[in-house]
Amino acid sequence: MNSLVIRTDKLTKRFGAVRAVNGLSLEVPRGHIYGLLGPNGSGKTTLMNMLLGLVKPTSGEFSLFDPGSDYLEALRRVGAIIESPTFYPYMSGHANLAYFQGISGKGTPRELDDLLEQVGLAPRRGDAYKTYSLGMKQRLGVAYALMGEPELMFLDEPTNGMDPAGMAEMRNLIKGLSAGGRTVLISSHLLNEVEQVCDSVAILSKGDLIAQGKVTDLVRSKDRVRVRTTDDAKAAGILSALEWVEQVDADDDGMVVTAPVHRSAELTAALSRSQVYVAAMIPIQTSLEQYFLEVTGEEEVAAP
Amino acid sequence: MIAHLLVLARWEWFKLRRRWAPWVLLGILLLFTQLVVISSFFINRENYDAAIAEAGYYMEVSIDDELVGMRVMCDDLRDGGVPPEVEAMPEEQRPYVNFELEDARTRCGLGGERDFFVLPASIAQGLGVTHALSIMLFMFLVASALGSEYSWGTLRTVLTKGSGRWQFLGSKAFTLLIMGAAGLLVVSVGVLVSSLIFGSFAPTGGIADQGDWAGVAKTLGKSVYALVPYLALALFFTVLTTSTGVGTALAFGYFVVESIMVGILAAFWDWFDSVAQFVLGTNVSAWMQEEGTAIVSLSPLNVDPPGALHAFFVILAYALIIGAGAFWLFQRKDVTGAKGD
Repeated sequence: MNSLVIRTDKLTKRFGAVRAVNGLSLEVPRGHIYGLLGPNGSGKTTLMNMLLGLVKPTSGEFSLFDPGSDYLEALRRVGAIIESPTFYPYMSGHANLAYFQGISGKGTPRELDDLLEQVGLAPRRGDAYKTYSLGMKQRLGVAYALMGEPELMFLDEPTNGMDPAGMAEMRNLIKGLSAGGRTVLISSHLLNEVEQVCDSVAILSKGDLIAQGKVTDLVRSKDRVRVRTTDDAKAAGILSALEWVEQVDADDDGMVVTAPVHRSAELTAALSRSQVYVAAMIPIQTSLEQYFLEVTGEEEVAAP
Repeated sequence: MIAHLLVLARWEWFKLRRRWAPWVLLGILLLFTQLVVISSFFINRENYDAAIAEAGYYMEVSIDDELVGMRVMCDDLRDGGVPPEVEAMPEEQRPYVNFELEDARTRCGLGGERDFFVLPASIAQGLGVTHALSIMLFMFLVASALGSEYSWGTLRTVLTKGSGRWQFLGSKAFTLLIMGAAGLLVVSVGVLVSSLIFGSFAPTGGIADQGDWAGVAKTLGKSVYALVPYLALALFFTVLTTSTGVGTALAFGYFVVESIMVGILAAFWDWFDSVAQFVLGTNVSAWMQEEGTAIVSLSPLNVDPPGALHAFFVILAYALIIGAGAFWLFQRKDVTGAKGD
């Protein structure tokens, strides 16, 4: 079994002169909750749309599950909510699910009842979709995405329009989804939300892939420590010369050294060899949001 | 692949039968044909003269400056028959009596309107008079069934379930054609039932003439085949515009404007008549034309109708070309979110 569930190779989509996705090469490992991060218009939804066959790539290639496998077969192993869920307004929630189950050719009537129970829509199963509240529509979308026990799920801005309680509920649901080796690709511009649920992320900006990797690795790459020494000016020179120190910035309260926190002991040793002694050393934890702002050069991100 | 298409078609029916539109459109078509049957029945009653039916119709016609009088019995006029006196006339003298014979038929209750409520002709007549209306309603149904997938955004939800693009469109087209055929069958059954009722009250008696029942099946089959190019047309315009409203308007526009343009151009230039032989509307009308059946179509009268075989192939060519265009476009186009139109 392939360890990569999604693989894209130089995937590009242009809408006229606008490059929505630009030569994106992405690898999503099996069993991960993988976040696509980026501000609005960064290409997240376009990428998902291409992977789901809704938008034709201008160039490049991609595969779902095993490369060379039948694409429609692969899609039947996928569950998705892209933007807001859309169903037939004149049909009931149950009839909508029955229809989508029918065309996918997978599942049993019992599964529909269980799903409606699971998302709390069982009492309204026979009511027309158009009479549902926004929250109920989202929940029906979740039931639709879970139908047929998909191995891969696409969730595009899953908490859009939800209240804080709904968002917390959705976060728990997403965490639960990865149980049993299921892979989840989730896009959001809410960095805090992604940091809480994702194992790995890809950061997009204006269609370009800025960074990708495990959240912990990415955040750690921007680890910093605040250092006060007996001679800050001399210390700055010594630390700047170390190749694993990325940056040294002096300020009124000492200096901020960008370097892996786990090498703090080496940092202290290097200074003491030159008769500079550490008075204080405070690790500064970088959040995914701070990392994102640094790599994308964005000034502001939407608050969760 | 066929099995997958059939599964999709089955679920397409699951979806469509829950909508109002197909039932409302069928209701309109049924109502229209019933009105034709009922109004024909009352016109027939109005024209019927019991005294003439009993004693016969006396007519005087001037033949070669000589006034000839004869009494025609209504029974002789049944099933398009002529009285023995007229049959004995030389062929060149027949035209002198035709007008009077038509009047005699009307007063005997055997006029042309009788064909609209007496079986089996009433079914073919019902399908004939609803020809243009059924095509327009069908195009609306097709545009609505596909256009609402765009406006509700459900096309995205369908395609992400791995149904496949051409497979989805193919199953929809197939289901709609079956529904169109079923609709025409229901209309035929409706006419059959009302003919049984009204025919039994007809002053001339008899609910069914010695008629061509196989011809009725043939007309029904032809009516279904005539829907195919318009199915392709409505699909094409809806895929092109991704909208029920604009798709319907363009399909209707083509249907109406084509016949108007052909009529005008054929009136100005004789050579255009040969071009008109390859126009869709002209061929569909020619295809539907049956001896003695009234066809209500928009096809211009100043164009010579092509032969049935010619019409069959032209209709097929239109259906294939426009249908292929619709599928090609559907396969290529990006699918965006709900439009809410």
